[in-house]
Amino acid sequence: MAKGQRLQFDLDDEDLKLFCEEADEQLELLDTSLVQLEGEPHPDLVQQIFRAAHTLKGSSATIGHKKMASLTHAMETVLDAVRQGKKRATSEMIDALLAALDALRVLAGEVTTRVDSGVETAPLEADLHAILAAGDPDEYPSPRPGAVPARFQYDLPADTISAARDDLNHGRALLLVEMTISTDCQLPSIRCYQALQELDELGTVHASWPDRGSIEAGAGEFAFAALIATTRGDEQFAAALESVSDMTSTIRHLGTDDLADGDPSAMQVAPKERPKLSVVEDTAEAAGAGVGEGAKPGKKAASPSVRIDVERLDGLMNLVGELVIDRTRLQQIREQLTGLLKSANLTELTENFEETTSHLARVTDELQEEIMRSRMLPVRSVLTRLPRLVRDVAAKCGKKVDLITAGEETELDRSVIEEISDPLVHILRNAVDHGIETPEERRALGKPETGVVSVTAWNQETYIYLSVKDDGRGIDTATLRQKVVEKGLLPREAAENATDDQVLQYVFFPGLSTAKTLSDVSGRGVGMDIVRTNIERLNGQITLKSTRGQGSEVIIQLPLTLATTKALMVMANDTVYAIPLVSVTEALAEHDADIHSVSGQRTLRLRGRLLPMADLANALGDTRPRRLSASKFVVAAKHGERQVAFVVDRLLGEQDVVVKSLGDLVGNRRGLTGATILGDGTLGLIVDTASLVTEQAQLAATA
Amino acid sequence: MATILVVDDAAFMRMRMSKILSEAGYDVIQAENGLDAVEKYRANRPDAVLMDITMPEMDGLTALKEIKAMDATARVAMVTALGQQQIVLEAVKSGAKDFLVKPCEGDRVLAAVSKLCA
Amino acid sequence: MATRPTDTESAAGGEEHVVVFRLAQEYYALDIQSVQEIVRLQTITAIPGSDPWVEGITNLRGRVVPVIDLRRRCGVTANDPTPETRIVVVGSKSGMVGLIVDAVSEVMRIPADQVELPSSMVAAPENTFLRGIAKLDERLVSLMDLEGVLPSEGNTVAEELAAAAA
Repeated sequence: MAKGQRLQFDLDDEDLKLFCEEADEQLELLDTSLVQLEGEPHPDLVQQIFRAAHTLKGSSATIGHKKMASLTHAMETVLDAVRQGKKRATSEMIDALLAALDALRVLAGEVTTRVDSGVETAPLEADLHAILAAGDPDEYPSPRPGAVPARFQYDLPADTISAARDDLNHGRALLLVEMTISTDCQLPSIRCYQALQELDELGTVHASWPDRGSIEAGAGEFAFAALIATTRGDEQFAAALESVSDMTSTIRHLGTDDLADGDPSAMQVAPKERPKLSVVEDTAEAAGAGVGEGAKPGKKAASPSVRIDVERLDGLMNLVGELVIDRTRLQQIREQLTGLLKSANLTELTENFEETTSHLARVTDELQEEIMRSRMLPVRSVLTRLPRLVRDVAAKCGKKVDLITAGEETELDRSVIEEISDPLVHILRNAVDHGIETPEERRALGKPETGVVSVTAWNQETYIYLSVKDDGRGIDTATLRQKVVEKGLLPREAAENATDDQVLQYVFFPGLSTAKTLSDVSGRGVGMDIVRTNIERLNGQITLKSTRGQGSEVIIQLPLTLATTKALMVMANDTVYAIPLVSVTEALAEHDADIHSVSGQRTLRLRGRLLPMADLANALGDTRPRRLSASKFVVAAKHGERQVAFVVDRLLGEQDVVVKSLGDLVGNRRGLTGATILGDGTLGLIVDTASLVTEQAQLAATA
Repeated sequence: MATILVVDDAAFMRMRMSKILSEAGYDVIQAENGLDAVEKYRANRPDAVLMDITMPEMDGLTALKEIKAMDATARVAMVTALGQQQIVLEAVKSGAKDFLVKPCEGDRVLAAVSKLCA
Repeated sequence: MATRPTDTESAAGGEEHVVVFRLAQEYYALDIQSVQEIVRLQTITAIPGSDPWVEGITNLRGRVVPVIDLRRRCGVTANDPTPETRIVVVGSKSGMVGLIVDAVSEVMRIPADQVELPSSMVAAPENTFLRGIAKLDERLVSLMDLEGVLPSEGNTVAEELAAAAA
């Protein structure tokens, strides 16, 4: 087959989607875990990796993707050798597996494009086979006993088996109760728990699948099984279980024969019609037999979650946004009506109405939060790509680097996750490439040869923070200061007076960070201005800390979601504007403000800094006649190191605003990022502080 | 016929539930929060209780515990919104017999109530 | 570009199904397919620094919809709002758009043989967005081309008018 040629696969559009999703999942898993295979990997990890390759092989074979199936087969063979202890995962092996993985990703892509990418798999397969053939097969003694017959198992620890055997010997009946919960039950784990409660009353529950802990943690399954020793009759069980709604059950009596002897200790029960129950598969044969039989290894049982289209979530989010607005309107109407109705002596109606509106308000809030939460993903999906990246970059520039990640559980909106990946990769690459010294340098400095880069995520209030910290050479602020002056970003005097922290932030300015000489002396590299632009587009902030000789830390602050943003609401010339809170540094009444005239320009003195002042409506190009306002207010807003004080007519308080686009026809107006619906149903405009502050600061500087 | 105590702070929900139940021949008592529910339970000793969870004054979980403390044989089903799984679990541990997830269809309400009263 | 091809598809049906509205004293019509709804004049938020033909944006049941003053666009006098003033909401290639008109008069079917092509008419700037003119009893109704009346992205009205006059 030649590059560019059309390919045919045996799957329809719906299958395609599922195939791609699952393939992505497995590829992702391989990407993360292959790197960890080196050294003495945990057997579970090896098993997991083997399964991923195996699943990919099975599904690609099913759709008739021969190249993909053949390559995954080669990978699987190598991994199986590792799994069985016949081979040690060397770095050559991992390199070969990673190379194959890269090809695999392209091959998986062909399923969507249906065009031959021209990827050559034969050399990759040859490499893998060579690794398998090389070396002494006995270098790693096989710890495993003989293969266990291919069966599905309810796994049981040995002591439970002996306890169960005791029960049988004492004349108690041993029952395996298998329960199915109807799929329209919305909280299956509670039903499982109820069943468990009922069973506890009737005998000794030796084990359950899922186990008690998982059920209490909410791991809901529509299938549930338990092993019970009892003296009660079947009818009592049937009656007790019938009292639990949404559930049907079958009871099977077990004898000593059902409790398997030997190692690994396991009670073996022939596969029933529901292999989905947390069955444990073992041995290669079992895994091979399982494919296509609905025995999806572990994965399905592991995540009690439902896939939802992002589009559908977006739609829900929009609807909730509207509901929130209606709620606010309804509350306003209520206030007006209450007065009228009270005077008409319709107390009951008024109370009912009040009750209903306040209930609606509460439900709406909860709904909004729930939907918001359903859009959240753990940041893990971004962090898992990093070990491979660090490994590659470190290898390329001859560094030794350990990556530590923390806070993988931290959740943020999926739209933010999609956007944060590139900047994070960029920063990390810089940290390894420019931050960490070579092993020789580090040794000379008395540091450990292996540098440490840590990536940490955490939540604080309504923001998420991501930190990338290295223990490398840090930034030479003296050189940076000089560059700042040379590039004309600060007058010499100002640069000399600026603190190190202030100077450091200039790394994010265009022209500065891209200077090659700087990257050589500073330990920070290319394109930090682009990183900053990307972060600020997400309404985020980026800061840099650095100590010469000890390392640098980049901290990214992001809102939890892009769909809503916290804003200070202000009124300027009869229009309501929302100024994102992340950029607001101060808001005060004009008569309380320390205002000076500096060379004809109104200037606010704020915490020792002089801020140029601008009328917000004017700055945005509002040319309508101005309404006079007796008292005015000043809002200081920042963008990077720049700050401007905007004069507005009134402050209306803080609010969560749902961001709406202005539409194609109006386009992105200068200084505005969108609109938001206010409580009274009219629209307010969301200020783009980044562009407005930059523009006004430059205007003031040239004036 | 059995008497059912319907507890919900939302008047609409109470009304809907009551209508479903009284059309099926049950006697219905209403309470609009947990505190009210405990008092009405003490006064009327209904055969079963349908208890909302999120309510002002006293929430459904607390009310359940108070009622169970007063009458260990009390038969209570929690009425829950999605996302309250942990509370429902806690309620089941505290003696709730069943639960219903909003929005509740008439058939489900009646099935749950007849199970409670059985 | 003084003329646009007639919409042959609708003409082939033998008649045009249109919404007729009034701008000052002149009658215009839009294909009913493109009209999504007609609402009373409601609060419009002006957008500072936008083109003069953009009246602003308005909230249509939770959607932010740009509103264009069709009277300015068509070069007729923009009178103060009356109880008859309406926003005609249309679906265009650039999304939903509200058009301010002085009144919506009727929905009607115009036989194709009563529509004259604009090529026979005097070249006027506004002809860039006319598909034809229908003579009905005593009235003239101009059939509007929706995409033509909405300025393409990046072009100001002045630029478009200049281009049309050239």
